Amino acid sequence: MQSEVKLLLLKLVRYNGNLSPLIKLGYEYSQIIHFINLLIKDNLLLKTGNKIIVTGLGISEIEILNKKLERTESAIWIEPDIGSKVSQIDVNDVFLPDQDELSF
Amino acid sequence: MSISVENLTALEELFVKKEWEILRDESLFSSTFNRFCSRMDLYNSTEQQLMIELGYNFLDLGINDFQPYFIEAIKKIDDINSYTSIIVAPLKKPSLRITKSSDSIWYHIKNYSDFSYETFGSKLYFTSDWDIISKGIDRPKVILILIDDFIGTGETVNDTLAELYEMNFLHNTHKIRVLTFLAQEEGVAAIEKNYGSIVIYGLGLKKGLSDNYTGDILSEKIKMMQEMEGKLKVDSEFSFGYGKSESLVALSKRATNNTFPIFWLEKGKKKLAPFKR
Repeated sequence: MQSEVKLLLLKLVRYNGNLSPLIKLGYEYSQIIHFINLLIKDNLLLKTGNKIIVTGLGISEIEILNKKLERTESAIWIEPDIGSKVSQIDVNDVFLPDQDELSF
Repeated sequence: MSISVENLTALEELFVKKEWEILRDESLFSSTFNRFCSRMDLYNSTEQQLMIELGYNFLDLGINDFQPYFIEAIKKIDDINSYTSIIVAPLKKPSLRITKSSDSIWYHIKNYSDFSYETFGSKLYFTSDWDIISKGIDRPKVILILIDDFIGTGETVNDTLAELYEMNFLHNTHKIRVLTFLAQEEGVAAIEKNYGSIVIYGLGLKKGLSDNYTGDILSEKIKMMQEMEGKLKVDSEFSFGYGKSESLVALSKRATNNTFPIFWLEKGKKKLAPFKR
């Protein structure tokens, strides 16, 4: 599992977010449940009854990954929306957005 | 909508309990788990939980699961040992030219010669030719077993028998039984009203909502299901399953049309349902 995905998943669980950012990144739910199980196995997440919580170890892992991936300011607790990030274009390039791809 | 971590793990628990495989890297289209999630995505959290809850009563049988049901069902015929011949035919109107699931089940059972001989010796005679059947059944100590996989409303059995009697392939004096693996109890009652106790089934099924909940909880869940169907624009003919059967059944990954349509009705490429039709 990539560090970015691990950090995003830990934060999603910690701040009670839904899983759509991971879907947007192109993962299938069958892969996400596999990631969740890996994090449970590594004691970063814990299943108690119907709830899934981030363990103390998980919180330290978030801190470690925040530093490693240089997440500062708001990015400490909100993950950048990597799925929506586009590559930078040259200053003279003309940008015509595809009408079908607009999400707003 | 989207799926929370809690609902996703609750769905995984369902799959583990039902022994439905979750393959990590399978594509959306071929993975039942991902298809289930795709449908859950349309609904809010409580609605998603209702889908999971109903999932626990869902039966998804493959063709190889039918064999024990067949033996169980056939043993339920009290006087089965008193017959010298047991004719087994698919339950289908003779006028129908297309292949039905009853043909497929019949053919499969027919080729399991191992277990048929073990239990019934050479008494079993498989044929789908009505000229042969109608001659054979006129002899004494012969019983005809019409075989199918599932009884929903009982309409198919009633219509088929009506045609068989009308076309003189069957007479009132003939000993017949309808054998099916799974049957909605309501459908069995509808057949027995016309033909008496002729249905033998492996497993009787209750209605998914009406027979499992009562009072306020039932009304609440019915309302929720109506809203969930509304989001899919379900045709009134199939609302709560054909004939309002409220079934929770798939045979070889294909849901019966008696099953709640939220489990099989697909609208557009991206809105996949857990089971196909």
